[in-house]
Amino acid sequence: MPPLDKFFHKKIALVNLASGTTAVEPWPRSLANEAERCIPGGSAAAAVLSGIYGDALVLATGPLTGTMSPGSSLLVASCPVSGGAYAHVPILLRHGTALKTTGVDFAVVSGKASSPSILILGSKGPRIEPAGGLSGLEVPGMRKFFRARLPETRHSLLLCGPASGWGSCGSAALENGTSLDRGHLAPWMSNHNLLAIVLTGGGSLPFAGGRRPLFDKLGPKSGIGGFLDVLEHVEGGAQAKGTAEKILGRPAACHSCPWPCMAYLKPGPSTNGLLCADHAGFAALCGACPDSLPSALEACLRLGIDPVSGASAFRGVQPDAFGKAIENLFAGVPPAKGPEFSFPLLSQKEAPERALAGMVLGICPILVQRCPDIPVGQWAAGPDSDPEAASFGDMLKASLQLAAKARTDAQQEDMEIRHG
Amino acid sequence: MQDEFERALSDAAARFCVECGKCTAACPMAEMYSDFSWDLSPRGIVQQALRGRDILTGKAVWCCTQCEACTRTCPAGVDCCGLVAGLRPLARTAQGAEAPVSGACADCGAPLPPKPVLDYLRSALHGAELRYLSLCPACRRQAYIRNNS
Amino acid sequence: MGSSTCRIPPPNPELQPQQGPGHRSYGRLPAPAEVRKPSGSLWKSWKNKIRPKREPRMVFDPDRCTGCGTCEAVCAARDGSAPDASRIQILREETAGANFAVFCQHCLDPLCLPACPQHAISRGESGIVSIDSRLCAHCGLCIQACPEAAPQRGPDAKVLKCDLCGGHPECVEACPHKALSFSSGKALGWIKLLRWPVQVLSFLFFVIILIGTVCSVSVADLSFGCPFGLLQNIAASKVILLATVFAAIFLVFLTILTGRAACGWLCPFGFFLDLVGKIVPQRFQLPRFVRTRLAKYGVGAAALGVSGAVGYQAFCTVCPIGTICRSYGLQSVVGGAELAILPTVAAMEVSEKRSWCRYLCPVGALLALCAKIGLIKIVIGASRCKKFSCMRCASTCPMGIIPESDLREGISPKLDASECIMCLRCVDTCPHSAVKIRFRWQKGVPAERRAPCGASNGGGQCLR
Repeated sequence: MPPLDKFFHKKIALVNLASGTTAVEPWPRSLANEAERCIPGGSAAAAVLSGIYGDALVLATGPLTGTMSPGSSLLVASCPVSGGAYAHVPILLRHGTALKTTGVDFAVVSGKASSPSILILGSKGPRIEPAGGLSGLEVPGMRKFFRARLPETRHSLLLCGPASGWGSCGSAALENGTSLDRGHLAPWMSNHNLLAIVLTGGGSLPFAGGRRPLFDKLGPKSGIGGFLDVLEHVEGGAQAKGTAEKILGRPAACHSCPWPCMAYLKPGPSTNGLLCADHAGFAALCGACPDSLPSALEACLRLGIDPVSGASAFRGVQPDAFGKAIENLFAGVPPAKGPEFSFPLLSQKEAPERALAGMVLGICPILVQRCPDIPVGQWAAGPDSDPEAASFGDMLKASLQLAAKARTDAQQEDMEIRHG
Repeated sequence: MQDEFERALSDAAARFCVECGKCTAACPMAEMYSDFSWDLSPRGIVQQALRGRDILTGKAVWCCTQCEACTRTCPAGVDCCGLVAGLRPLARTAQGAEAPVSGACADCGAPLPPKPVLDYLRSALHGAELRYLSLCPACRRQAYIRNNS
Repeated sequence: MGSSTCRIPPPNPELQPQQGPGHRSYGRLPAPAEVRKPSGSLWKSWKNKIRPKREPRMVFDPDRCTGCGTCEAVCAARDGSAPDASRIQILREETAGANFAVFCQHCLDPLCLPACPQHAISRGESGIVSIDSRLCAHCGLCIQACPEAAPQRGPDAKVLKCDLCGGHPECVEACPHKALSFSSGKALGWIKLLRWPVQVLSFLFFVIILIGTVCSVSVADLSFGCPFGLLQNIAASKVILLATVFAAIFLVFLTILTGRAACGWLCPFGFFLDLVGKIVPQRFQLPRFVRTRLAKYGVGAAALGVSGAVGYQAFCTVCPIGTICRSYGLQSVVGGAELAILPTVAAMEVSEKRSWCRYLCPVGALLALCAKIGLIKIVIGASRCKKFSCMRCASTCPMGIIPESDLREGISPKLDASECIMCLRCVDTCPHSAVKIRFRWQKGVPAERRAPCGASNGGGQCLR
């Protein structure tokens, strides 16, 4: 039996938006074949599935998604972007676990819906519903809409705000007002008339128990700093760090992650706090005065714009005109083009490989990168080095090649287009 | 209307009811309502629906808590709870404004349990005036967090 | 009728122990071992009075929580279910910038218990409120009845609720940031060990030792007088004597500085009422027209008016505080007849504790006006207070100014400084140190600020 086999349901959800049909099926044969020689998780599985289903959005979890392994709540959304490239978007918080608890490992969404629709992935199988009153709402309204429509369940949402309707590089604002999508997922969704993907979970996982012992290793030994250290590696980040330090409040973490790297904007005397996930740099990048910063972030999250992309809109703008400023900047600007998600974190040589390994295993790629002391293999095997996982290194390498192949093909294409 | 009624019956596999009464034995409504009788019991509801009696105008379908205890215990595989859920929209159109629904969550608009269930809850809590009863559980948690952080 | 058959209990429920889940229990199932009460000795009951036994509870610190959900993962692993369906739920309230854990608080007076039609919920000897899965029909009425909707629907829509893992909660051990803790709170309230002696001493001083009354005392060159007596005196004689004003102003200053501590700690009649209230059970309700806290101001105004009309201190003749002082010593001959007032007033204790002080005492009314502009107040912290699950302060407050209804709704009650007698019973009784004395200009209880990242994370990781 291949290692990490027990971590999969071995089921796949197929959704065709054009015909409105949904199905839950066993893994296709080619994916099962790949599972013999590599780990069919995350972006590696997406690479295989996109080969089968063509122009499709693949939501994929890794083998470790949903375990108690640190940072293991990753959902990888892979979709074709302009120029024939493929984008792997890591989605954090609790979305990966939410997909896996619906009883499937991967969901393939293909076709274009004739009218605005919602995709609900629950433990009773996927279903497509008409968007109804959802279209035209801003993101907070959308969240309220779902709370009323699906009471009693806690759902993870992937929402397209109004900005994605402008045909621009709007982003998918996730449930907690955050985004790791730099303008890839949201344009795909809005192009295919898919306004929201709801993961309701509620089922069970194919395994019980976890790999917690790594938790104790993670904190003291990894030598990682808070999120502000990230800014040091970003261009012009040192100044940003100074600004952000003053404005950010206490930290927060994704599901199953012991390391708090996100931050809240510090609630001022009259303003509320907001969760800043990956965009701690937002505070400095937008150059707004600290008091109006929450309203600037709120404007981005309300309209569904990636805050870091939108930050430049706020320079020299009065707080009451923030919404207008974003619209002026983004309306009609085509989606950003780029085949891969880049992590501006560490300049280590193996960093891209570690990030990709995280995307295959279903662990937060930021966390994997920033704990260089812990080998990726240990992440999956646990500290007691499972005898089952003896051949694990080779399999991981194979899956990395699989995932990277799709990436390099797309990269070459992109390079050709760019240098034209 | 008749079609939908038939569909509700067939979706719930009501025709397989063998009248064993296990659903009624498992049903918590017996402890909830002092006027609990055959008319309100899951067995009674299934049988009335099967016999074509007028079930949509009374309060029978509104007393259910949708706990699925009856469905879980039924040896014949009848989804009594699903039948009640299927009949409720029909009863709502039949009864119009007089349907004893208790409205929606004051915050998000999610439907609350029907009136008889909430009335039972109020009486069980010694008639305490609890404002949070007008909120759905999700919004109640949000309100609780707002008050406590 | 079909129903009649199902309502008749079978002859012997003990003969049918094998009941499938979801089946009606005819009568109660045999109680789990922990429900049975151990035989309590007199010593135990006294020990419990002096140092009340508090069962350990899970305490959540929102300042430390990062919302990582490790607790959920650990909890769900117990059932082999998904973290979304665990018995502890971490919610993010992004507009308030806070994470919050929703879990069963194991209330002292749980509302889910009366709401459950199956009688499946019980509160065990160790205070753990648990759902008996043999009886539960998963109707979800406990979710509807709970102020924070703590019971949770797990996989297959079954209702699950925290049972504290039988006393060793795993989530507490797993939390990487020590945001969850398992403690019984502070053990010993020391204020009552201070207050009772002070009350006894002041009673002895004013009533037994002193030849004279609390209304007007002179020790050496220092004199001390009742401010309300002074007002009546002025109303009656229309003359202001500076010496008496100085004597009376002491109590006014004391009240501005420390609130109505004179009522709670010094007043001999208050001490008497406290004793009576300890013996007499509070069973009855006063008529509605008496139960208004404004009545004491009316009594005070009326007493002043009558004093002015009749030309002597009218209220002082019936004042229970003066009466109890006059009951001993040389004046007791006169006081004998007056003593009838004491049992009359003390009889009001059968309705509410300190009923006289709450509704009628004009001396207290005057001090209440002073306390309104006083320097200190008592506040109940929003994030630390356990609200509906505890409500110890509301049941212990002798003045009844902590509204139980607010606590039930999960709202932090605001205390009226003018009605508070500063007995500090609430401060003493709160296991979570949520009740604090603050200056009136301070906002509330500041949350205990600690480094947001736990020690387990090593240094240099905090955002600030």
